[in-house]
Amino acid sequence: MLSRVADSLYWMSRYLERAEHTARLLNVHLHGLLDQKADYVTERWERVFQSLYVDMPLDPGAKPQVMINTLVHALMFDPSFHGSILESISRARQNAREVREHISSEMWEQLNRLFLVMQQMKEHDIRNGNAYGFFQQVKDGAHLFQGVTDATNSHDQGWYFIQLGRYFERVLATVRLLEAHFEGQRRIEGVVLGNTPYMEWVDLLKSCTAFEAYCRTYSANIDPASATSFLLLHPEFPHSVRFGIGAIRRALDSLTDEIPLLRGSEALRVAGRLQATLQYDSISEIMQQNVQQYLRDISIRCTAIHEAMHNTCIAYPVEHALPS
Amino acid sequence: MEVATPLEGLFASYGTSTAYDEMFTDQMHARAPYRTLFERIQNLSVAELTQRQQAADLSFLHRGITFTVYGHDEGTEKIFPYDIVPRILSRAEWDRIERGLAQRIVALNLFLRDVYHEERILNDGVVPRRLVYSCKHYRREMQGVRVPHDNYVSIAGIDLVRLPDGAFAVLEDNLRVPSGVSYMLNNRQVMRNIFPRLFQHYHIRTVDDYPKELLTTLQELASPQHPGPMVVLLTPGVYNSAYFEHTFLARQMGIPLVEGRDLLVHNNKVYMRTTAGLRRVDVIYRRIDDDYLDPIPFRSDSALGVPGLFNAYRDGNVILANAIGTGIADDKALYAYVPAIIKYYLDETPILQNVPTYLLEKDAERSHVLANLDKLVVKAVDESGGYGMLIGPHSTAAQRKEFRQRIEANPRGYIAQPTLSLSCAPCFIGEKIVPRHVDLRPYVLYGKDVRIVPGGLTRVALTKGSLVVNSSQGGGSKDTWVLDD
Repeated sequence: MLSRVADSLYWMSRYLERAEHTARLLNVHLHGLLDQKADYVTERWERVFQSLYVDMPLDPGAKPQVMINTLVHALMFDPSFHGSILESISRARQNAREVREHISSEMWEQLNRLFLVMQQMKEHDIRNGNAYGFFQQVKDGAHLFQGVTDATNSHDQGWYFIQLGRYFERVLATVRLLEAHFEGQRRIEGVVLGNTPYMEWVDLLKSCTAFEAYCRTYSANIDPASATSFLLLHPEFPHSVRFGIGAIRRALDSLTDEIPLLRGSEALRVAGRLQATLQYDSISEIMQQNVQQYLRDISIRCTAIHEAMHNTCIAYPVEHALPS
Repeated sequence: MEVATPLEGLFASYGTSTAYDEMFTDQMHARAPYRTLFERIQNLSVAELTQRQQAADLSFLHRGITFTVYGHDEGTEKIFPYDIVPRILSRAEWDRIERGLAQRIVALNLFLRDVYHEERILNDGVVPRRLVYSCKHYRREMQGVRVPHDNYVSIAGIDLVRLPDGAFAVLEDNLRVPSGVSYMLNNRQVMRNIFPRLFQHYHIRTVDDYPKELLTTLQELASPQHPGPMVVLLTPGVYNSAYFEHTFLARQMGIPLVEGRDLLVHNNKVYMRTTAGLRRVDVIYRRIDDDYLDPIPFRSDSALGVPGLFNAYRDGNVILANAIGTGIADDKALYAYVPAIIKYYLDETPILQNVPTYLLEKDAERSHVLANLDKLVVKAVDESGGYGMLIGPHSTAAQRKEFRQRIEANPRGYIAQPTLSLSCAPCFIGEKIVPRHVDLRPYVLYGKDVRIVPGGLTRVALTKGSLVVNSSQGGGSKDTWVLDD
């Protein structure tokens, strides 16, 4: 498979996962805003933007409702805004368009349809206050795409790159979300951030579609250690970091058949090691240490896996890859 | 003289002109190959034909058989207008075309070999040296470069027109990167779905093996010591107007579709970047113009090409189809010399005639042309796609004045031809069957042997009276049947 094609499949999948994550996060966040005092609106928005790796476009003079509209609009539609939902979907589609020959027609049609629906909804529905319908469309569209991908595309090399894109994005998003959560707690220590601490944890879990799954495991009693453990270390929940890293390692493993250079590569080594760390570390140890440092470390290692993979399969130096 | 029988029903408004009519004789009898089709259409209602036309249009849209329209927002993709009445050629008509095309491509390849090596034809004064050297697509860099099997043009899309006497003539040779073959193939697919019963009646020769023949041709260009050569199709990318065709052909041939950024040159060898490392590339079916192939010798602002490709090519480490510099033979002034070229290399009379062409560097021909601008067609020698043309009978005095000045300033830059009356074929337009002007572009492949799939792309000038068939200027296409009996 051409490196460019693999790269496009990877980013197609990553951008779509990003759009879905942003939609889910915004949905939970806007719901949360409805229930709380106006005091910490800015802080809570900052946290959302932080967890999406972007700076908040802030106009300090704006009235709260105006500010909310501006920020929601930026995160949904602003093409100049890195990571806006529409921009992510548009980039996913652009990547898909460049490799249309390598994905099933059903996949292309689904992604194209999602893009066209989103473009139509731009402005129109949101002004009518139908943001939730919009988020639902994005989430459904992304889930449908994943289902169609699994059902109609050969589970070959390209499919594994699609898996890699999805799980890299998901792991990094979850880690970053946790980081922002702890960072927010630290910064305004002792102050209840507009809402009860309990609801903060509920929102965090919901942002990862994890609330119901958590309740089935731990009941609705939420304590920081259990919630963190669930999002970081749960072996079976598909949005947990450990699950994601496992999926990444398995995909890399499967690729070694066709990409011998991956065998024993840096990417596999770091992924295997990170997987072991998450498998054997205990939550009490993690909570006793500096949690944020621990999370940052996972981010760094994830990025290292991505880069190592990129350097082995996509943008390798010529001398390393000449046929023997 | 027999009086022409007026036609009825769908054909009621079918008039004839001085042009040759593909379907009807002067007496308005259907010609032999068209007889069954004529009867079948007469038995159909407007509603039935409209429904089939819509089915065809929808089929093109769903298959994504579209071309990109320039100058619009990204994502503006249109279908190429399609007419559902097929154009039919008898076996005898096709045989002559086939022999004529084969003769032409062999002679043109010998010419290109000669021009880039010994220059015998220039030394003998058959073709003026200055004419060749002043061709826009002449590549001095190719002088003395050994091209494997001396095969310069492996793929050509030669445009034919039918003159009032019924004979075919060559209008353009298109020896660089001719496009449109995917429409030929898809027109046939769609036609089978909408007129299955006609296919049962007619014995129509297949065109479906074109991708296989193209692949064989490309493989034959590789060195025989090298079995299983890696053949790739090089596309400018997703924004190119023919991108659909590139993906279609790559898929049908089962070869990788690569962009310039997928290829690199190392030690004068060409590789493509795959996830499993670099893979040597042996033959490149390039759909990028010479100018953009390699930024080092050619246009340095090209981001589409592969730096170092030309050196690897010159070293014989990679094969390009078509070779670099084949565009000289596309120059419209050089075109006038093709009959002489055929005579010179093959000592044969051209089987397919040329359209009479006035060379404006010759004083007598120029003064004749300038005196008759309102009757002639003037073309810029290096333009294509129907651009840079003056169609005398349809021109204004201001346009003629402008072309007169241009010709006088640069006589080498223009040629003139009589206004051709292209043949007409029946088309279903506006709930009626009406005659429209058509041409024919068969696709000629030349590896070890000449291969021509029987058929081609019939392009239609959909506007009444128009002679311009190019897709960029409101042309459409129709399926072309070559009969087996």
